[in-house]
Amino acid sequence: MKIYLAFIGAELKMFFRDRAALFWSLAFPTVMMVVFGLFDFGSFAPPQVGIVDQAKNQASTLLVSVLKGDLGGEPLFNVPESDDADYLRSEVLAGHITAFLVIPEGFGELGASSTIDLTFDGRKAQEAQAARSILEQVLEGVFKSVANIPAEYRVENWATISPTEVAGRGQGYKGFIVPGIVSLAIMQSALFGVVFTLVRLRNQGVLKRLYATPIGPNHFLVGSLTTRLLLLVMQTNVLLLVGILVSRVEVAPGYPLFWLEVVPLIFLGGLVFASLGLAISGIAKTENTAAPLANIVSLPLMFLSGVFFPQTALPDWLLAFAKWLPLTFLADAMRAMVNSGESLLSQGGSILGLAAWAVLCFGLAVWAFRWE
Amino acid sequence: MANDVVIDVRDLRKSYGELVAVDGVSFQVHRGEIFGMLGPNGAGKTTTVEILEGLRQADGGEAFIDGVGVKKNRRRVKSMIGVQLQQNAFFDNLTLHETVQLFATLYGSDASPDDMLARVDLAERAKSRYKHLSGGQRQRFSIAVAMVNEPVAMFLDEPTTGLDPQARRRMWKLIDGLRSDGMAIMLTTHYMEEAEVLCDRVAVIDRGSIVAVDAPQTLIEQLANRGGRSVRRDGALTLEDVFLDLTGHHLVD
Repeated sequence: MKIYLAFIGAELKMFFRDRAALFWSLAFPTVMMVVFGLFDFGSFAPPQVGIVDQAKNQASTLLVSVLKGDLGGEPLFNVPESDDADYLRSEVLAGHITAFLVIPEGFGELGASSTIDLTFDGRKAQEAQAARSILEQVLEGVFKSVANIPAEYRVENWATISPTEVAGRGQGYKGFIVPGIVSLAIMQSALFGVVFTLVRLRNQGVLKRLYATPIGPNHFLVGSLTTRLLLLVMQTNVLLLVGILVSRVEVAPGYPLFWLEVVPLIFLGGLVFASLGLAISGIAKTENTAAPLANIVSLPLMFLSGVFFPQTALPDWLLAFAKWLPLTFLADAMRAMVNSGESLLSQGGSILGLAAWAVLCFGLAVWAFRWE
Repeated sequence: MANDVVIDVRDLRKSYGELVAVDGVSFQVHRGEIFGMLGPNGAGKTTTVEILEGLRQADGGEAFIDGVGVKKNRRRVKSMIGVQLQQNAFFDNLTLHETVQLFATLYGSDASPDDMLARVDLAERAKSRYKHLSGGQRQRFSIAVAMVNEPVAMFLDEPTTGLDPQARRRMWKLIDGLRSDGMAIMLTTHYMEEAEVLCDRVAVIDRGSIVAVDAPQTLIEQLANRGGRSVRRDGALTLEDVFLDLTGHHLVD
């Protein structure tokens, strides 16, 4: 026990004295988080607007078809499947869609004037305004073609739009990216921290000197891993704070226990990737092959595990594989806990997945370990 | 005398594939003795020492440290000996004091870091980090670390290679002083002067085999009796001449 503690104490000291390593372990993910938080991927696509068609007549069907782009041309709105008003309202509140509109009964009937309700997320006012303009133009066109009446009989304002602003709580892409980067940072600093430290110590001959002492490899391995896990907890907390203060993301709303429950999640994720790092530095013949090998392993994980964009963007065959990746388990659990304030125990599937990876990687690390 | 034997090596053998690194080496080192292994690079010195240190498994033969067989008791032997490896290194960002403390813990010893550092004249550098030491200081420091467990035997693998003459002399003085602690000290070197100055007895090793073992002066006298010739202009015989005579080639190419 004394030996483990001695290693942990010594390695913590060394980490904090190595200013460059300290800087990069925090600065890089912070910059990534802030920069990606500035992106607004919503603006590349048509606004997400839900439609509830209560009229279900020729005019309303035509309107919906035009908005969806069913008659040819680009869709004007990105329309979700559901036409349930309550569900769509909750989607707006969660920040998943920009707005939803309700086409009332009797819409488009000759001589009648009806009001279309447009409920939008107050934080996306610009997008909602764009949606509203599109809607107005389309209504004009629809009215002309359906009514098919001479211009002099046309009723002005046969359909008006009644906007309602609601305050959404969802966090958009920022909310997505913060737990993603936090998870990615756990992987990167566990994996590369271990690889670089171990390869350097082996090249310098420090490991060989340790091998000449009566300790076993487990003393050194467990000591190193424990230190790394402690550092990861610290790093994750700093990054979450950056998320709260700089990216203005709400972390684990209404669930203060999160800050306690996230620790075992970090430990488990860190154990997987630090062990993987140990295994890689054991397998790699030289310093020059260890870093590229770690990159080959980490790059696909980085892009397939839903860190930067949802895995739903992946083709099915790739998703079937990607959902089993360790970073997927970590990012999924982290995101559910950070965004929705869900408990650790509710993430049983991801925990189980990570645990399986941890056993596999730790076994590999012990098997591959070399002192020189 | 027989009870004084601390390092007992019997017919040690080790090959790496086709290459025979150690080819039946036997010798004994006694308490309070400085025993040198003199030979060129690649003669099998380091391999021999690393087998004794429990870092490598021999293919054949056996070695005992204070009666304990190395082959079956590697951990125990490691706890009994002090080692200075050829490529000696410690953690860059720990201070000397912290490093000695760490190694004392690894050996389960309660040696005082300050005492250890004082013995190698590094007391005033206790708070310096290892990476800031000079080459000579690093070598002396590794001796301080090697002493934390009060070893019965000390192995020094080329303790002065790469040092300037002044640092080398200082190191010699330090090693000579260790003799009084009663340890058996075994060092490897390819400097014949080092072997002459420091060693009570020298094993001349070439291509994995010991070709002669005796006191440096005896080896030189034997060469004189054989009518050996000196490579020096003043005609004085040295271990270099002994080596040339025994193996047909020079110590350093």
